[in-house]
Amino acid sequence: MSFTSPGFYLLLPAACIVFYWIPGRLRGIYLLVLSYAFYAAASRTYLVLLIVATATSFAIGLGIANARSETAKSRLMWLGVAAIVAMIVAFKAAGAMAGFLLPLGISYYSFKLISYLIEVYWDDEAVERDLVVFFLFPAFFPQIVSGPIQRPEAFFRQMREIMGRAASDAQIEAGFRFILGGLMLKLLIGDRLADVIVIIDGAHGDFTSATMAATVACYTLQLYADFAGYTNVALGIGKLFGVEGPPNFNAPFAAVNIQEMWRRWHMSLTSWLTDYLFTPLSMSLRDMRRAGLVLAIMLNMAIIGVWHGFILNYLVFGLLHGVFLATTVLVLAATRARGPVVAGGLAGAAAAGAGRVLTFGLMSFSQIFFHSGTWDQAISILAQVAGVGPSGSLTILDLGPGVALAALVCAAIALYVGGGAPGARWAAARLDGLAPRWLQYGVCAFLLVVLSDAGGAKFIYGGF
Amino acid sequence: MPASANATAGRPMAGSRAVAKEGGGAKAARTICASLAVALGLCVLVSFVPDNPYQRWQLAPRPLFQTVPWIYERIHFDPRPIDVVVVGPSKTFNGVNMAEVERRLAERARTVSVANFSLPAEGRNVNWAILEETFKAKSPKVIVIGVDALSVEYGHPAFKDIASAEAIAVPPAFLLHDYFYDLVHLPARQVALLFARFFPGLAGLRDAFDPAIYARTKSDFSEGRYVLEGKTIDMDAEVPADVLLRRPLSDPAQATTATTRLLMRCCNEGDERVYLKQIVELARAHGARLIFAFMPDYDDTRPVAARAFLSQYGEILDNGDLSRNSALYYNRQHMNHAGAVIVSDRLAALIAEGGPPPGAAR
Amino acid sequence: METEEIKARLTPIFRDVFSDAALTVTQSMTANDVAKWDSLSHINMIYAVEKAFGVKFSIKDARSMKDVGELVNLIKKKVG
Repeated sequence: MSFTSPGFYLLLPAACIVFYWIPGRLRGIYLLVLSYAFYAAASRTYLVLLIVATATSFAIGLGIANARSETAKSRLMWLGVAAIVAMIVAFKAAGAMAGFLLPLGISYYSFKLISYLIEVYWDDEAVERDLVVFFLFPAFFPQIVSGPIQRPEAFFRQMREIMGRAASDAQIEAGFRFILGGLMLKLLIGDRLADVIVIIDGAHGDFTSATMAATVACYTLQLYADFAGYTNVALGIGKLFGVEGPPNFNAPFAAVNIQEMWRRWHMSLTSWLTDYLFTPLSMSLRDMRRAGLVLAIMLNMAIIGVWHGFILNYLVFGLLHGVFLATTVLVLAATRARGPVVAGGLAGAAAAGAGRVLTFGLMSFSQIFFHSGTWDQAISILAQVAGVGPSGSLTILDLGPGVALAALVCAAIALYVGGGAPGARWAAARLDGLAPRWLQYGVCAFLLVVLSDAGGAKFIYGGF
Repeated sequence: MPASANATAGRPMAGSRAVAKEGGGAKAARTICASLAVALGLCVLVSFVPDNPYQRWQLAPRPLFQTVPWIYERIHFDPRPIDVVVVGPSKTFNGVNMAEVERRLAERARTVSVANFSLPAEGRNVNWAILEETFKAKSPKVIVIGVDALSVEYGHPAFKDIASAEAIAVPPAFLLHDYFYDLVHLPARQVALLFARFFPGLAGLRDAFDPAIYARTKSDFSEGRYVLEGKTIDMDAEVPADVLLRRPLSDPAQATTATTRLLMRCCNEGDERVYLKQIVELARAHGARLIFAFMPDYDDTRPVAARAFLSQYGEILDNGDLSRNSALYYNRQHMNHAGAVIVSDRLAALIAEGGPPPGAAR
Repeated sequence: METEEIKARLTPIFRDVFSDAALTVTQSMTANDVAKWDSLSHINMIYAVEKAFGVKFSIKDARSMKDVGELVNLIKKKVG
């Protein structure tokens, strides 16, 4: 059941109505049943795996909280984390070598469970003794397919709250708005860009170097539109059930350097890695000073890469970002040592602008590896963009004037939205004065129906 | 101490209501319903926007349905008459050779123009849509309909592209198999066609007839070698029987679904009969003769489906005996050039005897 | 060691690590209050504090400090 299939949206209202109709104390178990049914529709076998992993984490969490000695707590925590990591590694390795599909959401729910174990280890109070609430945590269906990766405390707290309170009009409407907006971003922008990109990729040798460079820039834009759109849908569905999830994107194209970009891109994953991997690791390596920091950064980014899959392309993507980030951090530290930089007026704006272009460029460069299916394709596209590989003479205009125009419009919109949509708040306020919200939403839903390709939208991040 | 972004996720934003509003959700539900009503209303409204049929017929996905624009052009822009029109699935798409039928009838001193408007994929509704369009500009006296051992109870994938908005929205029977699927595509299609009316170049749908394009469009797929959907098909090749037998016979389970069977019990007779009756009405209204050409699979003993039903309306050209001859097939389901020639000869013979002679002086 | 003395010794460290010459250290100060206090500079601050006071923090310690006040208490506990 995909969040972009019309069938899902026929079932969703019914599921919501039942949710608010049953007594509050049954809401938890209702969501659990719903989530397991959702998962079972994808795979009954792997549902068993999810339940086993959840039960194991529940037991180990209790063990850590109840343990007396620091050593016992530590051992239990490492045991649990190692078991889950072994599970992910086994599946990802098998996926890379034998090419079979990973269990739905394994990368996401594993990380949720690992974060729980580490949190309990750090603070006994974080333990969750309620079975329903705990089992729902990794399985919560809006977040299982492709995140976002919510933290245990935030989820447990909200679960208890929704069992007690009535529906919130504002939150439900926000959920509807997020779903509409997310679907528009993913289906009208992301998928349209993907259509063009697929055509060009298939025959990239026939296109000019400049066209390939533009296409590579579109890899980034398409990925943003696709994933940010999808995340908004997931967040919106959560809101319909009273659960606020963590955001994944915060105007990533407005970042002036790579370090800032990673604080704005796939935020639930990067903050997870920062809190549970990078910070502890860099703490342990702090005696190695700069070398330790660089090592921690490289390892952290390498893992971000291979989290997507045990494929060379993803590893290279991660390592590239490790290099970019380490360089940025060291340069910034060095310039800070020379005294605070006052970035005012035109010079400041120009520097920020240049920083944004550079950051976007670096991201797109790394996307050559992230996006390409094979190593050879990545290298050949890289060579083409650099002007050293064989190129053809076709440009995007050769695909048809309509296609070129549509691609340009979609790319511009993706860039605008990803850049923080400057001016959008002002425009929205003006619009609220002209037309009631339901009319605005209605027009958006209409645009969604007439402009999207009804049926079969692939989602990139669901494959991880 | 540095608070990670996630630690604050889920907490109500500072400054907004600290306690969730006790709204009960009714207001939100009203807003959502109103929005959906607006969307639905706009979809209905836009479905009424008239379109240019020539552009509409270019919407059928290519390369599989590449002959659809050619069909429209043959009807509306080609001055030659159409005396015999053939409609049906891929079996007649490959299995009837227009030139051969014309040649055999010419031998019998009948000057007859034959148009094969069959399309790959199955679905009786598109056959009706094509025939309806044909009668707008031409007056065929013989309609040949390709039938086989199975009644396919679902619609054709290109119907949603070709058929008029009215034909999609108001079908001849309730709850036909593809009704909602076709309907859901209608608003988007009308918007695209509206755009194409003003910007044909950008939309890639030409609004002016180009004789050069028409002349070089391939229209007969019953002979020679060609590529369709990435596969090379050689209509003149010899395929040995054991290779043919590797593919199974067409499967009745694929001709219908459980839901359709349920609907057929209460709401409609199934796509096949509903649209065949529509075709029969068209034929009667225009005084045309109906011939059902039975195209069997290779090595298939099953007879034509619903023989008794079909006999009420027209003659059945039974090619069941050809099923045993492996030299006439290029795969289990489809005849090759040799098979097409035999079927075409038989068609010509049947057309020549019986019924008002086509092509006679009016 | 007294709270005030610890705070006095923390001030130059904080000013250096967080590049803010005018920074004043208070008990309730957290990362949200200081512009350049992120996860990276936090590590630097920890390192600098450890070197200055001759103590060692564990990862649990580093995480459990909710504000400067708790950092001060930790230092007090470790130094004696």
